[in-house]
Amino acid sequence: MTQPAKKQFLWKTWNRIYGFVIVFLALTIVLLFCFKQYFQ
Amino acid sequence: MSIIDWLVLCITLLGIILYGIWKSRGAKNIETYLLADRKLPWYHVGLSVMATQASAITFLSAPGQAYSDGMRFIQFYFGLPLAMVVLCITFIPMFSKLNVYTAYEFLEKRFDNKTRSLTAFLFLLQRGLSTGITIYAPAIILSTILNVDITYTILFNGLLVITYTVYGGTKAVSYTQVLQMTIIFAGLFLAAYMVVHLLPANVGLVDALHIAGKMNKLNTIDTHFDLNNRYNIWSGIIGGFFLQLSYFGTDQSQVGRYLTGSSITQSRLGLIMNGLIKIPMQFFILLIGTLVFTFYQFHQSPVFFNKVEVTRIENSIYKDEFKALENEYGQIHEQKKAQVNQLVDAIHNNNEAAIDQARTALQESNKASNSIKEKVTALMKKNDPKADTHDTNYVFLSFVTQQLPVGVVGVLMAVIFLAAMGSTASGLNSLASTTVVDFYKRMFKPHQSEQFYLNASRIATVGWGVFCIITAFYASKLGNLIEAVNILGSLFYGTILGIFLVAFYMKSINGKAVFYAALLAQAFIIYAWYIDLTAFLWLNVIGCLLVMSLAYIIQHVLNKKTA
Repeated sequence: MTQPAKKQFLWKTWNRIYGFVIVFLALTIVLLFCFKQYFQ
Repeated sequence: MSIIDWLVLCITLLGIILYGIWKSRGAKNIETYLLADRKLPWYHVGLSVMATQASAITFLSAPGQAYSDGMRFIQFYFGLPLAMVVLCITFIPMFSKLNVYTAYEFLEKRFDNKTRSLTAFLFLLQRGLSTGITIYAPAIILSTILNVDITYTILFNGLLVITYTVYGGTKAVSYTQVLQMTIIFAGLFLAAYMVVHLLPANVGLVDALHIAGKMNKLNTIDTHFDLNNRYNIWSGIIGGFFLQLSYFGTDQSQVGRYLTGSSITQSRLGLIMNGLIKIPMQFFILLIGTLVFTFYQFHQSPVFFNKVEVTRIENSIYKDEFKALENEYGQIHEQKKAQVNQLVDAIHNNNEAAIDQARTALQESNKASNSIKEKVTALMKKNDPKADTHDTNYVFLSFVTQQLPVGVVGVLMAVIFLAAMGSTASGLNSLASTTVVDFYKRMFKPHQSEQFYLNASRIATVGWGVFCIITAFYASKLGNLIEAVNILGSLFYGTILGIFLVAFYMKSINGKAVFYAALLAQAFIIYAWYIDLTAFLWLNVIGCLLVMSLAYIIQHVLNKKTA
């Protein structure tokens, strides 16, 4: 892999990781809301 | 505590301390002592970051808070994953590129020495006081169990941590924290299992959650926007984001953890790990608190959990009044027991009308119980105005020692001690590194040998240890401890974060403008807290935005003057 291609790959990978963290947070909030609603 | 519990506790504590000392032997320079040669892998970084944040207060106060106030405290952590992403993108690459020892070194490179010194000073003030509280928290445990004066237990806890932190520095702190977190996770699962196991035979985990939910204890999300409400989704995401960004990005006790990563990738992965695990972990701790609440619907709880205060009132002139309140509390519990069993039957039969009826009756009884608790608290205050009436800190501790079997008590005590040791050690280590790198080496003794700075770091660790022990003696006056630490953080973090954000994103602003903006913002934040302007999480947002806007205005005025 050439240096620019490697850089591009790393950049994309990290963006996917950050995206995953944000989606994980959103899902957690939704799950917590459902948890509260279900048991109340 | 039984002899077996003491053995489990002592072997765990000694084992971990000796392991940390052995792994950190041979530190010959300041880089090894303060940053573990920047060679640690991501999981070390992640666990170390988590152990630094999760102090004994987390395990003492949080379940108690869930017991009395429900799980709404979970919202406080919603900003954390977002803060981790921003740190990975901006802060970590910047710190790594400049090869700094402390976060504040960066500020001198970007602005000037006075801005660096002001920020480092605000950090020392805030962290010194917070670390004092983290020494105090586990000292309550020993004080209650051994029935000895808290002075001796504070000294014991403080000196234990000082010993291995002074000897091994960051490496000792980090290696012990990895083991500490492993035992903490195991202990938490054990505690959750035991609470469910101790419920009546016909009540399972789902029933217990239904009961807690019907009593409003599973209030995980509050979407109502209210500036004076401490915990709702908005204060959690926005205020929490600023607080966590400031804590992880500018507090040396955390920056020092991820600067030990062997590369930018390892440091980033460590923080991402923290971002993914923190909310589930905190949820679990709070859930244990609500399960303890359910447990005490079936079994009578003490009218007041802090035994020391109970003994004091029992030996006072108010003992008859206290006894009468205690009897009344017992009678209400019998009523509650019948109502909660009706609720369980209604849940099993899926009978909505019966559920509503039993729920209303149980809520009324809980209100009556709480009103008696308030009367007891008032009586204690009447007997001694200095009485420690913040009972939430004692709920979990009292449950562990009185309800759990031999051996498990020792493990959970070890969990609380280890958590305390982890965060206190990181605190002392960061206080020492900031004192030596940002003040002593920079201003008083530049160009000395590595051995000289190593010795200075060790002396600074001892000095801060003594300061924190003295602070711990006054911590009992602060109420709920976990909130006290967070409020203290919120007073300074907004300003510190504002300085860093100006440094990163507002390139046209120089040191003079940001220095005066920070001073003005800090004065306003202290005033806002004093007049109780808003819930404390919002102080982070206000402080940060104030520094940024004031710096912009001052810079504009300065530019006009020179033009």
